[in-house]
Amino acid sequence: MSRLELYSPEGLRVDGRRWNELRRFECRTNTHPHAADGSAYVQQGNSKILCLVKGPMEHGANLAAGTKLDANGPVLSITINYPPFAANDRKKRQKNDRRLQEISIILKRCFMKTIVLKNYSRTVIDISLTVLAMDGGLLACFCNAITLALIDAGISLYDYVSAISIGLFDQTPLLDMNTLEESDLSFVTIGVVGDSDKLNLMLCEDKIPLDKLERLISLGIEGCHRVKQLMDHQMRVAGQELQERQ
Amino acid sequence: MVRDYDISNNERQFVLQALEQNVRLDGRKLLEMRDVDIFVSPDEYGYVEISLGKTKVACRVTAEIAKPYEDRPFDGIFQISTEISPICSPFFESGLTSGGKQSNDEVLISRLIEKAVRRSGALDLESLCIIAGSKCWSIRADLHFLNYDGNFIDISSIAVMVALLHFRKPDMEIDGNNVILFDQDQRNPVPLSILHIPLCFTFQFYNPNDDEENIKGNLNNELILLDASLIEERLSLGSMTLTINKNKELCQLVKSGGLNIDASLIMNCCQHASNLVDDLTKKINSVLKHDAHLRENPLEKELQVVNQRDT
Amino acid sequence: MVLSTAEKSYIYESLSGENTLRTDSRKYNEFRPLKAACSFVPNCNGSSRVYTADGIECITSVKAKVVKTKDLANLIAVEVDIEGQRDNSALCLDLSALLQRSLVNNFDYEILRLTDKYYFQIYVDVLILSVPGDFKNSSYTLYSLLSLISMGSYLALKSCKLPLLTSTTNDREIEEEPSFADDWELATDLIPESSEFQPVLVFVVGLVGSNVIIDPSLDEEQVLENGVCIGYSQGNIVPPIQSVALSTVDGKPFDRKTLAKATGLVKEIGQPVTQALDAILSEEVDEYGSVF
Repeated sequence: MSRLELYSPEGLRVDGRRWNELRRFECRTNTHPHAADGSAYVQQGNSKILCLVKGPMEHGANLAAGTKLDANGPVLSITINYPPFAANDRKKRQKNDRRLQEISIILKRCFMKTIVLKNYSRTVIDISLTVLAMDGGLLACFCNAITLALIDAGISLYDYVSAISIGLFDQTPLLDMNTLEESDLSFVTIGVVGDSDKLNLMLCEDKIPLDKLERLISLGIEGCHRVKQLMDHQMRVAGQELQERQ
Repeated sequence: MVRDYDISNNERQFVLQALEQNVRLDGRKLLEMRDVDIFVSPDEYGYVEISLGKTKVACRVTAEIAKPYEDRPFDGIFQISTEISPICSPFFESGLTSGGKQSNDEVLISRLIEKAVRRSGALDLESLCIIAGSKCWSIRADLHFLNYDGNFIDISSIAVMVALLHFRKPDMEIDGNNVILFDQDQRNPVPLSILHIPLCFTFQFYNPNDDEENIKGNLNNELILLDASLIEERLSLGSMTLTINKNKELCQLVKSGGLNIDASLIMNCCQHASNLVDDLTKKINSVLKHDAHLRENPLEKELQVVNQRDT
Repeated sequence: MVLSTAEKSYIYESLSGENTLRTDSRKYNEFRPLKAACSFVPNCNGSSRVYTADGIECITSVKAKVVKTKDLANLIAVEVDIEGQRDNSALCLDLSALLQRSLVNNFDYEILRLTDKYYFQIYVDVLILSVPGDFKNSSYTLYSLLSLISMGSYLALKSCKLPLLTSTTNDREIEEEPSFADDWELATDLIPESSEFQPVLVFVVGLVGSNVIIDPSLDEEQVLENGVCIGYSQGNIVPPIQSVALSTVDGKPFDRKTLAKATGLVKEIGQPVTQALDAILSEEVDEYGSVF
């Protein structure tokens, strides 16, 4: 795919979206009521992520031996399953893949600032992420899925963390990139807390001219707020259903 | 066994209160870097030692001829090894005792250096190709961390870039399928082709208010400081590393969770870093120029050595 | 859960008695409830999700790739990954090998054939999610997951869609790479409806006294005297027939008659199980595949 086809002169992207449009965002919570305390399924376009949360509990099964419990807050452990079939071309990933390790550390630090720590001292919260299909926006999908699963598990958060990726095509910022776009363009992933303009996480791995950054971030913040609304709506629907059942 | 760096409550409060009054323990301003001291080896190519205050690293670049990766027959190979040994500080474990498992910090440091220098294309890999598919230069940068007083990432990026700029690989000629290498005495060795100089800047964030204000409030008075020392690094509530070159291109940026920071403050940090990168690049270039000058004029070099003995 | 001697003895007596009374009041040939769905992973040729009431979930994907080969036995590759286990652990390797062998031995390679030289290579990847803590911290082994995995791979293979071949199937003279239609609407099934072929299903049968039970639960596994896995395809018993350890305490010898009973049981339930799975295949998944 040549670079030119990614954004047509008429302003359409490969999948027919405009520059500021999200892909179809679907989410469900409590998808695995028997397997975990909280679970969520997030689908952004063709990217599909499952997240299971176990905890807060006294011992974590996946915790490395010798990890001490913290008197001031929970110990988060995040494991990522990236099965070989998730990407378009089948590719086996090693368990200690550096990129995934980095992502899990970033997510851990991000949620340690979002969970109300003082409620969960000396506990373990186990988060397991599974990628079913990946079509761009890995970190963003992970972040949204964890937020929903934590809420489903009843763990108190200060606010939603919503994340989205934004790419740059020449002068135009593009919201919510897919794999085709990600492989050719530079992009930034940002995560925003609640309805604020405050960034919780930000990751950029390619070259971006400094003067374009501001536009990317402001489009990203808009996108994050939209994602947050969609997640909030879903949570309210789920809450309603729960109430009706009682 | 890793020892944790325990900070007493008094010490913690002292440092944080001082920061709130814009004072740092070593007298710097919040957004001021420590002095960078660059030493390049006068006798050989590709060995440098950099210190940033008490933090010190050495970097050596070496080259050998190898077979390129199958999927990239036209590219050379570039590797950066960053293993942190307990030499620099007892907080780090050697690879042997920890069973090869790296701590969070180590993973982040090595990934950041990797992304800042390798992925940003600072070194032109295509120029390292000798015969497509069968022979290429394999460049390796070994980072050795000698002393730890905070901010390994920034100093590592400086060290790797200076070492790459300083390094010269032997000249060669291709005769059919044979490669003839020339000794340093026969022909002058040639420098690597470096496309740009990406440098890292790490900012640390502190919160003078409570968590709730940080998330819900709009005071935006979080404290931001650059080039943290060890104790400041340990007390920090979040950090952000960005890599930038003097063309004002952002090569990489990671804000790995931590304190929530308003987008405008992040833009200020980027702007500040882009000002600093000019000075730092100038400094690196002048050091290297001086070194090249001394090599061309051996007499002056000898005189300098004599002078150094006198003092 | 660790059972006391009295509890064990009680369960053993009731299982091995004449009427095979099971703790959850199932009949000897009854499965615990299972749910399944398929074709929900967009970038795989076939996919399925099978999950049990206690939360064990098996996600299977099938990916196909065109290869030039003469060695048919290598056309099917199976990889099983269990969450919380290293992917090179003995259990994962064992399960992968067992499933791979049973598929390879009972496969209709004609459906993978594109031309005389080109074939489809099939990758079956299985991921077991969320194994209950009971499994991890006691004497149970995870070999009982085998029947779940084989149902997953059955569904994934049956739901596998391939692009329509547009080039000729006879290339004896010309060395031509096969070409396919771009339109996914025209995609064909890997296993055409006209084909008699069914991928192998492997059932795990528990042996207790002279009785056999299908799909033993955790409580029952502790008192079983042995377990066997038995393959089933197109109405026949097929390899593998082999003993598997369901807990670390079983492994007592069993006689020929019990084994014959076990194969009889598999033959008896094979047909209804296949029918049930085929019913799931015909269920429509909506465009965005929200099966969760």
